[in-house]
Amino acid sequence: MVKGDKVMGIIFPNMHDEAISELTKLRTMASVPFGGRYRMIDFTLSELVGAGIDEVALVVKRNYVSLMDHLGSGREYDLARKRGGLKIFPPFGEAGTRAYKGKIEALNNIIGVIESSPCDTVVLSDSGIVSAIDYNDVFDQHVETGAQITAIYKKEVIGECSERDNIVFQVGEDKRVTGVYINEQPGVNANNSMWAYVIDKQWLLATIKDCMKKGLTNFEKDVLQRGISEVACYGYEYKGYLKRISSLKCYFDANLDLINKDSLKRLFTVHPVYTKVRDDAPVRYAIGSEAKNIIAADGCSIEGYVENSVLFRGVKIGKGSIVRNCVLMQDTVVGEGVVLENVICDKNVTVTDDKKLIGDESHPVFVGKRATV
Amino acid sequence: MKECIAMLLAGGQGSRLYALTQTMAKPAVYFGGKYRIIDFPLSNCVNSGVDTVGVLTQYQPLELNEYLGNGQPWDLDRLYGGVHVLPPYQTAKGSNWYKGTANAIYQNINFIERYEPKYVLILSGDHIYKMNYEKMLARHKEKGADCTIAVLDVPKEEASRFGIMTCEEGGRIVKFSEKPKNPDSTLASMGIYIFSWEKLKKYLVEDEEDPSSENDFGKNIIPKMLSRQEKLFAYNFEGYWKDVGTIDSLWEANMDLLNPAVPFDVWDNSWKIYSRTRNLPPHYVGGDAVVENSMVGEGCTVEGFVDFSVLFQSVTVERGATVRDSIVMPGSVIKKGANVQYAIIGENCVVEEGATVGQRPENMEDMDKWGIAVLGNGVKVAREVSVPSKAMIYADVTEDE
Repeated sequence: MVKGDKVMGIIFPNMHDEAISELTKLRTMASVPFGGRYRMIDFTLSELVGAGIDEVALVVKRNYVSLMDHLGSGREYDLARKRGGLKIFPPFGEAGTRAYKGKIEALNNIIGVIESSPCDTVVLSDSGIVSAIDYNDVFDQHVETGAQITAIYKKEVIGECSERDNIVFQVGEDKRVTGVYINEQPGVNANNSMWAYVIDKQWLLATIKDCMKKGLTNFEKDVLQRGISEVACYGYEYKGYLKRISSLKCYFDANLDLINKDSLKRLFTVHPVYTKVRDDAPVRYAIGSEAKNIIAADGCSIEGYVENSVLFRGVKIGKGSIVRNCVLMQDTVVGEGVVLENVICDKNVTVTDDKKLIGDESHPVFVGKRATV
Repeated sequence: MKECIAMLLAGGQGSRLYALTQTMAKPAVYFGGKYRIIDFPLSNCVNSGVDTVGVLTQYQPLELNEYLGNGQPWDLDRLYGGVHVLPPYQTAKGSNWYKGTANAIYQNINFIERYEPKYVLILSGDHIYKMNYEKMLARHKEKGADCTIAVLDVPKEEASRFGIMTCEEGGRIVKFSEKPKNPDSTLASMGIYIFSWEKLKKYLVEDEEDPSSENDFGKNIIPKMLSRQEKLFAYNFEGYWKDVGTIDSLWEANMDLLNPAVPFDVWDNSWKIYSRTRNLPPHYVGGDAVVENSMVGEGCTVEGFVDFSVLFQSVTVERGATVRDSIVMPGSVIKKGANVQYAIIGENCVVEEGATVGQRPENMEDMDKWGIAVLGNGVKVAREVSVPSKAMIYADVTEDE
């Protein structure tokens, strides 16, 4: 890569779907709502668009209706283009084939698209992480080191939210990755992968073809781990805001962590974060309402008491209701005299008058999409 | 061809909003926590099935042009039709500014004729209301009218502020009087007209040839049509409508959004008001904040006291600051201990620590000196400085003043 090269983004929206099966029953990890008005994909796409990338392919596997609905033509991300732009690739259904296994197979499905793109460099990213990577900074390092792969990682202690699907890099002083470990034990301070790579396109194409011949499908295990000594792989340490959505509890905590000026600043001021526009009116706080320590998106209407909560677009909280430590997704309607504590409501949930739902901080109550309590 | 296209008069300077219209035309002025005034007629058009809108601009058009862009936020980016900005232009015979409302339409006859419309809807860009123009058009057709004028029944004591229509049974207009001293009707023109295009074109051409004419709809075209017994009908509109051409009315209309008793609801999803949105995170309300009976836009940080106020996007109200009965436009910062009451704070203003803007009427000795205080866009008010009630400020206020 040299400075100014064209870059293409490739995102895998279904990777890590299993981490929060409650929320991915009907959607991909990438379309899980997050942070009041976003979906997980918005953070990844905005990172790419923020670095001037204008060609992004999404390789989806299943449950992608909500994702397609959310992204539309890509216009809200400035990705509705004649050349490049946003493209969604469902599994390529030849008779007798199954949906792909592993990243290599998925990439092989769109190999023609990668080949014909004018780009020289490719960014691969999974879904399931909320971050604000400045890719221009990653590209600078990629150019400087002359890397074939630059793997992005965060220095952190492997713990509750960072344990799942972890890939740990051993990184030398010269930033060269000399070892790759999969499923490191909790408690270890490690260079934990953010499942995002900047890769030389020609090297990637050759590697995909080679792996397909050998029946290898797993990028991390078969390519990175086994072949680390044969490739110029460097590590990029990301120091910004990061949340891994690897369980319902992690999801809950990550949402509530945004009720904090510092978190908002670190996540939202690196580059704009784009999302689907819904044309809701600003939030209305009624007479007698009370709000402490919350974030709320447009379209909400608050008549009751709400504390330490994340309110997505169009949430209504009725008179005399008390909402504490809750994550209420789009269009949740809370009636009058309701008490909600440590509750996650999926989209379009209705909580009728005088109901009481109390979860524990360590085990929030989850109410599924369109349910009526 | 299109059955009906709209022409939106957006060239007005809005001189009575002075500090707020120094760098933008009145239709681009902010309203209601996230909107601009022009969002209301544009959204009404789209919601009424009118997909071709010519926006006539003249005064300070940059901000408005940029805001409208290709019309996509209003779903008005169309292959045939959509929104078009129409500034005055040069011709082989010379160039002319838009002399009056009728002249502005006259100069764009070519634009209108490209769509071969049967009807033309004339709108103005300084009113806040929700109206289904489709119903008005149906009425126009049903009556076989040449012109239909939307009217609002106003209280008798206010009638002398408006253009008043006197109608016979069935709604036919028999008399039009501009701001009459002794009104004989309470039906006020809302400045919304539907004309049958062939008829309007004839009158526009004729009006243009009359050197004594002011080329204005209200003053010239309508009286002339009436004098020739053309079929002019009133269309009764029932609902909220407000001309926001003055500081007081702009402030009141914003406050009306906070009043549950006022029948105007921007939260109603069946008649959405569209706007060009900024990419901002949800707003943040801190642990010590008090927010009551207010509207708060995205990207705001509220840690102080906010009551009966409208905060636009990215406004910051710091700890210990008070904002009451006020409107704070995008990006403004109200610092610690500052006090903003009965005020309109323009875009990107800074009210420094301990400064005061505006006064409560009950604290005034002389009510004649009371009024809404206004800060124009980008004004900075220095620490501990006090901006009096009714002031209209468009340059920074330093500690010496």
